[in-house]
This record gives sequence, structure tokens and C-alpha cells, in this order.
Amino acid sequence: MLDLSLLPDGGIGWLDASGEHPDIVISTRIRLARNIEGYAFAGRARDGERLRILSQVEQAMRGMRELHHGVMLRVDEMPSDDRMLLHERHLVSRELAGLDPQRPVRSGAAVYLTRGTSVMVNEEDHLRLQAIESGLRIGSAF
Amino acid sequence: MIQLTEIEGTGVRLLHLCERCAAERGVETTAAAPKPQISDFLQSVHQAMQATQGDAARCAFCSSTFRDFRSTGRLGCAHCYDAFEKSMRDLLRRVHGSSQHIGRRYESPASHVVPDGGTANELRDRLRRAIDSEQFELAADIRDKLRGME
Repeated sequence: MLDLSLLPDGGIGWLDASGEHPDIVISTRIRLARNIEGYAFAGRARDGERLRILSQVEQAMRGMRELHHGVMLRVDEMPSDDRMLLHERHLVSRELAGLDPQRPVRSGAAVYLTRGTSVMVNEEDHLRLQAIESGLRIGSAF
Repeated sequence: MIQLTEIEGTGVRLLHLCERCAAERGVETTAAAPKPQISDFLQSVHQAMQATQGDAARCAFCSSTFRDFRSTGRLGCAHCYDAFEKSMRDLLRRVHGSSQHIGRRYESPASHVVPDGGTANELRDRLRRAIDSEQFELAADIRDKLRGME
């Protein structure tokens, strides 16, 4: 079972109703998709290519001080229950978690988590950046 | 034979008409449409053949084909945009009417700020334009400014 203490704020900090208009707006989520030059898109890339993409992303993240307090999780190495848990907490998409029997989890699928922010690797795009905050906080999330 | 169903009040009347009688009654029928020419048929066959050839084209970087895009809805890599440009533009024209954006464009927030000054007529003109472009927050600001002037 996934150790929830590994997840910054348990992965559900956005549920604390601390944002603006929490009685109307549960959360604000912004997702940005980016792809790395020189690789086929994630849906077309072969397993080895996806693992090279992940390796390149991890190397780049090590060089960024702002990302030192987060945790990188290998979704492709998790059992289905743990992947379901991440999806239920809106930390990964259904596609990355491989919850659809016709579309199982693919190699190189990973997610980097820090408080209020996550980066999915090898989902529909090479990188899917996500910021999620409680209530209506568009500017802060962006 | 054209079959015409007329509903008058609670009654329904079914008429069987020839082309001439239908035309006299002003009934539009497919029989009145011009018969397809052999040239139209050959053109549609040529277009279908071109589409098939376009589907078989392959991207040199990722080896995906336009047929793959049709079946998955996703391109294989950044180079696919160049490899399938013609087919993509044809598809965009069929679906959206153009291969270039011809609709509304984003305006930066700075342009929404109501400038100080300006006559009442200028403000009314700006108010009308804001309403026409559905910029209702800007329209409300201009309206308040007009009220302050009147």
C-alpha cells in the first residue's frame, strides 16, 4: 500500500476549503501540456523511448532547487490499488494510472508531487504540469 | 412518384403525385434536383483515391501514417505536422471551413481598461462595441462611467 506520508499534504490539501468562495468552487485546477523535442509523442513512443524521456526529466528536475522538496513516484511500478489511490486524489489521470483494462499502465509513467503541484510524465504528452488549489484561485494556481 | 402527406386540422391526407403535379404545387423534391453528371462522379472517385494515397503517407521520424491519426485522433510526433500538412489542411477545411483561424482573437487585459476622459458619445460608442463583442464586464464599467457623467 502506498505510504501516504510520502505525498506532500497527503495529496488532498486542495480539499481544505481555504480558498475563495469554497462553498461554490471546490477547487481550481490548471493543467499545461508540454513535449520534449527529439522524441515521438508519448502515445507513439516505444518503451525504451519513454524510459529515456523519464530519465531526462528526472535529470532536469535535480537541477531545479524549487523542486527539491517533492517526490517522484514510478506509477508504472505500482500495484493497481496505489494507482487508483493517486487517481482518486486527482493527482494523476485515469490514463496515466492505467485504470482502463483496454489501456493498461505504460512503461515510464511517473508523477512528481509537491505541495499543490504535480508533474505527470509520459501521459498523453511527455509532461503534464498540474496545479490544484482550494476554492477559486486562478492566479495563484497559474 | 412523390408521396405528399398533408395535415389539415385533425385530418391527414396522403397524395401520390407525379413530378409535374408536385412542381405545380410547389413541392420541392429530390427529383427536381439536377441529375449528377459523369464528371461529378469521376471527381468524387479522384478525391477518394487522393484521400487513400494521403492516408498511406508516412512520417519519416516516427513512422506513423495519416491513417493512424484518423483512427487515434493523435499525431505521432512534432514532425507529423509537416509530413501530413496537406491532409491536415484538407481535413480542417472540411470540418471547420478553413485551415486558418478566422474567428475571434484573444485581447490582452490591458485593452479592457476604460481610458480616462473621452466624450459621452465616445463612451456610448465603446459601450455598444463592448456589448456586441460580449465583453460585459467592460460594458458595465463603461456604463458606470457614463452614469457618472450624466
